[in-house]
Amino acid sequence: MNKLAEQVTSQERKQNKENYLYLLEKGKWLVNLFYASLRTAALYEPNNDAFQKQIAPLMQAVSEIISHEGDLSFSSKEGYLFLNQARLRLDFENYVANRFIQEFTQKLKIYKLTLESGISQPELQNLIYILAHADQNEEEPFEAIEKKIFEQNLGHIHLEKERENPASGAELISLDQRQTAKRTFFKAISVVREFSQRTQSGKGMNLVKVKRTVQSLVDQILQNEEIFLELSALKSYDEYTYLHSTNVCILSLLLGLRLGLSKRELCELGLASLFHDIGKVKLPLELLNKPSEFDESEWVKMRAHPVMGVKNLLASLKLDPFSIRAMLVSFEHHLNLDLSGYPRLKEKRELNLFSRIVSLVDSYDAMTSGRVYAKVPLPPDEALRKMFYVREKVYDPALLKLFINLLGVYPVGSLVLLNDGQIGIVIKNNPENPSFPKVKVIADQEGTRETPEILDLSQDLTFGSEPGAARSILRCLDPQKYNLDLSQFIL
Amino acid sequence: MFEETPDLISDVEELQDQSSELIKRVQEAVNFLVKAIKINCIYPPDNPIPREFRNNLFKKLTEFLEENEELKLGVDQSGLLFQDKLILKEEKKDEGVAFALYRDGIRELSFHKEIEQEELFSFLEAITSCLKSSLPEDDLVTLFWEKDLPHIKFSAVDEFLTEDINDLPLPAGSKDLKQLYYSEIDLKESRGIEMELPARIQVERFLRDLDLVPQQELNELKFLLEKDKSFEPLKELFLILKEVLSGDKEFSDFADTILLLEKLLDSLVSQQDFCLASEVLVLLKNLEETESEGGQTRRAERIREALNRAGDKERIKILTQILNQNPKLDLFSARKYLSLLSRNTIPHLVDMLGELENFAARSMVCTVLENWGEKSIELLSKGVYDRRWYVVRNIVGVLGRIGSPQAIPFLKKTIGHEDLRVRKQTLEALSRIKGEEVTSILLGILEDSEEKLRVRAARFLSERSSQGAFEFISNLVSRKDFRDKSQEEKKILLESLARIGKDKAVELLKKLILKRAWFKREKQKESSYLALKALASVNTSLSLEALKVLSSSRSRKIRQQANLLIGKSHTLQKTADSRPVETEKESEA
Repeated sequence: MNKLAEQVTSQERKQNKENYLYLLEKGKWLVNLFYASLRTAALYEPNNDAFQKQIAPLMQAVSEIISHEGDLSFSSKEGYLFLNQARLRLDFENYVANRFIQEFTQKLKIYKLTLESGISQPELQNLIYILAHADQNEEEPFEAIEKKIFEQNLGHIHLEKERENPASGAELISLDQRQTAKRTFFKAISVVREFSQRTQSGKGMNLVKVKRTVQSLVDQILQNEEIFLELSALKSYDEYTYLHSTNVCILSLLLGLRLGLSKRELCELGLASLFHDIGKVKLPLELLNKPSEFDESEWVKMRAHPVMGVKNLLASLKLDPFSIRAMLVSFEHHLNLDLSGYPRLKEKRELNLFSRIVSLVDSYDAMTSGRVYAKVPLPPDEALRKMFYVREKVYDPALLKLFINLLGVYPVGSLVLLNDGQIGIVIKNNPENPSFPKVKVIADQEGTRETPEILDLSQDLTFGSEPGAARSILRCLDPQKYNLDLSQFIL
Repeated sequence: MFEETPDLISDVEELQDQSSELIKRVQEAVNFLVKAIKINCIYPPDNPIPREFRNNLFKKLTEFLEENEELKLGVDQSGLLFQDKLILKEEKKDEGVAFALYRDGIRELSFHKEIEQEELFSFLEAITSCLKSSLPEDDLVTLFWEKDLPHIKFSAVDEFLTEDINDLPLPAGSKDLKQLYYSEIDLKESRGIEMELPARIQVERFLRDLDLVPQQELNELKFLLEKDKSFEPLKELFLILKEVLSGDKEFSDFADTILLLEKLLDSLVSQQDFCLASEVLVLLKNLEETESEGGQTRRAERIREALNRAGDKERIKILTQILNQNPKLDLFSARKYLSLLSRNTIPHLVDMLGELENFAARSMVCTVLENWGEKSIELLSKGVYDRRWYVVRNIVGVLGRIGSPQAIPFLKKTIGHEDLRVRKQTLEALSRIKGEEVTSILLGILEDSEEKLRVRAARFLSERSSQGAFEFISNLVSRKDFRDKSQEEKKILLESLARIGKDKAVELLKKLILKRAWFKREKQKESSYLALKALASVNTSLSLEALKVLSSSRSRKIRQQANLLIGKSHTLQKTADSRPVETEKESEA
């Protein structure tokens, strides 16, 4: 290659990178505006001021990107949203919007939405209105939208339908995502068990196996986080410690994902959270499973586990950023934000991001499990509320809010009593309307249902079509009060 | 039938042609791929050669993918496959690309349409780093996974992930609980009841309080995320272990933590983080002091053990390898680290001098040894018996810089070393040590067979005001064979004589100036002029008087020279009153 050609290639590369960064930055902005416009359009008529106010900045963003790029297209692939060629990153500022658009387009079977140069504000406004009011339950929602676009002569807008026969391996896996997720979930438990047993007998362990498990968890969480939220609601298990560690890992990964952590960081977080309680392996089982409160000497032993965790990990693993992060998390996960808690520190320090994440997730899972620290489990909603009102001193307030946002007011797995007397398990959080999640009705007045009904409380019309007429949650129930094991409805 | 047969054959032929054409094109693309990887391994990434290979590969691959959507390759131990046919066979199996993929469990690799340049280059970077390093940071599956390459897919064999999960214990008694549910749940309790007030208030209040995350909290979170990008694992671990150590009450816990600190120290050294490694040593040293003062002898002993181990033979060997492999290493922090090791390390550092390939590193180790000072001479001087002349020379240099008379017995040995470079270094070392013993050794060297050594010894002697030296040199210059010495040696000997003897040397110098010879007259003349200059350098009234006498000598040349030197002596005295006379003379010389 001659020098000139080389220069051209290097310039092209630079240009490509700049372009990519431009799309990442603008994409975040656009996704949030697009989401807000869809939400507004669902509530107001096109000529309403609120809707107009929302469309104007969206139009500005669209025009800006089109003038830079020539045209603009959104597509959804393998759990990611693409703006033209750039895969948009998820972070805590656009997570909800990004996920919403992905799910929304998936339901309408839209693979790609292209806006061409020359698009006008009325065209964009009409498109948003059509999309916001599209019937997702229609047999062929894509064709219906396409028809409306054609009828309204929106010539600068093109839609591409989702491919019927996905070619990639990842999409094929999605056919059996639930099964795969369960399998990975149990693998994670078995990895924690194996690691704990090896540590107990003073043997070292190769991290590759653990990393693969965490990688697999991350990949599947990216594909479908709801399944894992459900699985993490599992509390009854013969080997509670291993289950707890796996739950903490999953919830930490979900929170990490919302923070926009990279895959490598997620892997580090997953590994650290999986082994946060490794310091307990040498504690007697009678102590760990003690049904009553601990006395002072037992507390002394319990409080030693963060330090024991560091020692165990340091003794069994080779030192690398992954293992050290795990040691750090083990050491800090019972330290509160104001550095109270344990172990007692000699020098002031700032808690690591991952420790803050694991600390609050660990508390939540422990509170709702009712095993080691609080012997009586709290319903998930109550646990969250309790955590929320002590947050200033104990938890990172912003992280806790994100965590609650992730779980919802009634977290997935909560056993709830509806105002029509039915009993259900929350299976999906509703970020737009947290009081009205999706519920799997497992029992009614007649007893346990043979085939559970899935009920979206935000869309329910049982008591009429007027706003507020939907069925709602009366309160959370304590599954242990009824000796009810939710796992049978989750697994 | 007859008409159809030729058509069928031509179809088959066409298909075969198409297939072989495709294989040819795949082979071409794979060759570009392998070449790009191999070139990447040889050259630094910003070099134009690998850049060109990478660009060519990208061009070739995108051309192929434009037409074929994907390029799916099988991975075997010995090569790469396309449609079950071996299209790349690697001769050196364990160095090849295919083997690297195979070793890490990858069995299939595919490139897809719309692949981006950055993505392909990231892939190359991962595979190159794995091939280049004998101890890669991670396996290829992890590296590819972390790089998150949407258009490059792979399938890997992970037996444990595909193990059967049926054997896993099921949740406790779920079937029984189902039965219990039927009988125990009291559904009537909830039927038709309005939401209880406390619960409603709690949820409403919670939702209100939850609201949005305030900007300040968001900023703090962003800051935290940003800060985490510069996470320093080993430093963090050190801080934790410090905390752990402070909480260890039992000796066994304490000993465990010290062991872990040792592990950390080893890691820090192997990762060349000598700054933090030094901090660990400082912590251990301070702790040892505190424990000793507090009467905790067992603990103090354990720390000393750790400190000794830090500088044991094996660890110094590792350090040597690191220094040899990384010539651009921060030697300042390495020096700090070595200086903190216990004195037991000295013999290993002496050995290290023999193994280090780089001058700067050797010099750094010498400085470390030198800083241990007088108390370590006994340990250090064992190095003078080393079979490697360069080690002996370095040790002699260190002994010299320490400048202690305790080193004299060892330097006496090395002054007779077979290698001239060692003898020279010994001379330098001796020159730094004060005392009559060294003067007599230096005088002995004036009789050495090596002229260079004699000259240097004479120069060093000139700096010592020793009566014995004056007498020795007087005898030497008076000898008949003195005139046969080189000009340089004669000059330095005569200058030394003048400098040590001052007025006492005047008479002898005068004698030497006026000495006549029947044979080797030129040599004698040379000696006379050099003696004349040495006389001028004495620069006292007596020497000036002698010069004046010589200015009326019968010899025209001596006359002229003496006059010239008298003139110079006056001029210099007038122009530089403040400067010492001796210095002027020296500069004139």
